[in-house]
Amino acid sequence: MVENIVETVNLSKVYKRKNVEIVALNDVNLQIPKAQIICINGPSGSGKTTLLNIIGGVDRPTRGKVTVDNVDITRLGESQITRFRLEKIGFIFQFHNLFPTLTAFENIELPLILSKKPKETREKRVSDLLEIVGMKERADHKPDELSGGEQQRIAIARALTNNPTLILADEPTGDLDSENAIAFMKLVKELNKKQGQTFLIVTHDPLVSQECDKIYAIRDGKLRE
Amino acid sequence: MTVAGITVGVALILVLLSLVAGIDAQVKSSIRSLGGADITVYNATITGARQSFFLGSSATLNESMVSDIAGLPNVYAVSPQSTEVVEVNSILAPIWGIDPGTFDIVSGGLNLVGGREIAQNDTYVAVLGKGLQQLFNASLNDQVSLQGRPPFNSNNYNLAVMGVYETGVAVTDRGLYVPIGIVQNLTESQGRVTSILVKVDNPNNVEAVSSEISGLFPDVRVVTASTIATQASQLLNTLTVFFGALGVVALVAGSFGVINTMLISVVERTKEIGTLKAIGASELTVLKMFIFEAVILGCLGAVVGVAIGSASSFILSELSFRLLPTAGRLPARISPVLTPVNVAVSLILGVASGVLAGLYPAWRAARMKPVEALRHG
Ligand SMILES: Nc1ncnc2c1ncn2[C@@H]1O[C@H](COP(=O)(O)OP(=O)(O)OP(=O)(O)O)[C@@H](O)[C@H]1O
Ligand SMILES: [Mg+2]
Repeated sequence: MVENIVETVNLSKVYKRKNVEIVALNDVNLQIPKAQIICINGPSGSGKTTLLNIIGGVDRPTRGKVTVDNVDITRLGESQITRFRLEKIGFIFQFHNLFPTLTAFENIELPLILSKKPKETREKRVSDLLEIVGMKERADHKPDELSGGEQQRIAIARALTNNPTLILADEPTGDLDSENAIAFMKLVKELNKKQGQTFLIVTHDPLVSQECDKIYAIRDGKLRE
Repeated sequence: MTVAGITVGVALILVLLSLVAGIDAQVKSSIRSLGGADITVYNATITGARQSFFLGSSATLNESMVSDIAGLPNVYAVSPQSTEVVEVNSILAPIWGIDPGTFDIVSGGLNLVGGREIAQNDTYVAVLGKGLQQLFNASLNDQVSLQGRPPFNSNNYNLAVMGVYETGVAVTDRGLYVPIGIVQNLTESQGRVTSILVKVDNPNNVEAVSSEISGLFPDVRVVTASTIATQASQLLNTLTVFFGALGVVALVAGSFGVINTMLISVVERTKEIGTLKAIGASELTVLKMFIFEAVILGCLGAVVGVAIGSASSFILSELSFRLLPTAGRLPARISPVLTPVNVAVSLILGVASGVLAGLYPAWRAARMKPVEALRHG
């Protein structure tokens, strides 16, 4: 039997606004096996970001259960789920969300500082990551001195920093041209192959979805294969 | 500027503390200048300032009172004194004319740091305050030139420096002591003096002797060490309430400025805070970051405030020396004194109000939900 890194059981998220109920997720049952690249697409407002946020522990479901790496994260308290995010999850955002006042190096170093790693360990790890994403010479540059593709590579490096079990990406190529989108997916494939990293990617980009092991579609909060 | 309120508050509090320290020093020096002198007698009707401007000399007590008072029971010694502002080497300075024969007995004498005191037979001599001596870079036996000022005659005297004294009160130390006759000549008030110092044989008799003097001369004001202390503490209370209230108001206003600025910066950085929390920063980490920022803001405000407060205290003490009358009684001559403790206290108050103001915005930032922060834009 294949080990699942993520499992959701009847996962639902309902937003109540005055007397209107918005069902963002409706009984979602999803299994993600280890070391796979999974894509999710669907129209705007269908609940893709909501699903990603709940699996990544930044949002809480209304009903249902989420297991990540054999831990039911819906049962974790605030400080436990913070640690879960720090150690188990890597986030890649559409607009990369790098800190503009920090250099590429410092942006990647941040999760290591948060997990209180000693300085030598941090420096070694960051320069390894810069190597992996091919940005070694740009270590001391601020985000606004880098191209969109380069910024996204730094963001990937930051997501990888604490060697997470699962990497979540929300429209990671939404802001990139096709050349950079292809390069991004090449890097994802490489990491997946070499380090066995699991990816869950929300995307509309065919350049991305064609490289995935499996594609799901979401419509009105319902998940389909 | 966002920390302006803290700056103003800190500056006001520092000026207040300096003034309090100044008054304290003044009281001590006044009491010391009475020395053993338990009682000082002034003219009661007109203040020194008005007299100098409108009537000429502030020396209005008849010198014959000296022997009258000396004849009273329980009086141990009596010494006349005349005070004015003159130009010494073209610099304005307070001058005290004393009677060498009695001054020491009544007041305990000057605190000399060089040379000697004025002797009975001295004529054209001066004992300079340390500040004045340093200003002129004068050595013993050097000559200083004394110039009378309108409305008095503009006689010029060359005086030999006999000694140097130090009281620790800046204003006093920028003055000089001379034989009383010189001041009387300068102010054309022969036979009259500004004040009369009295020493009583026994401290228990101070009250009795001062009421006796009051009874004998209804027009004079009789001041004892305890009345000086009372006056000073009244003045001190007024000042403390006034500046203290201003300072607290400014600090509170300043704190709201900091709260406002930081709340805006929390909102502006919503996305960054969200990202930080999403990648695993704990509430405590975010809280510490924003409190650190508040500490920086508080420090900035407090340091600038201390700079402004120090400058104001300095200017005030210069002004008090230049503008206020010299009739050496309280509250005529209050000059702020900066002490390291006062500077430290105002610094700490400023930083503390910055940090207190930062607590709420920092808490808001720490409690921000990462989802909402990420969706922010
Ligand atoms: N805080 C909220 N309060 C109310 N409704 C919300 C909230 N967050 C999301 N929603 C609603 O939930 C639904 C799903 O939102 P979600 O962001 O998951 O969609 P999405 O698939 O990521 O869309 P897009 O492709 O535009 O990013 C939407 O209808 C959205 O308006
Ligand atoms: Mg979305």
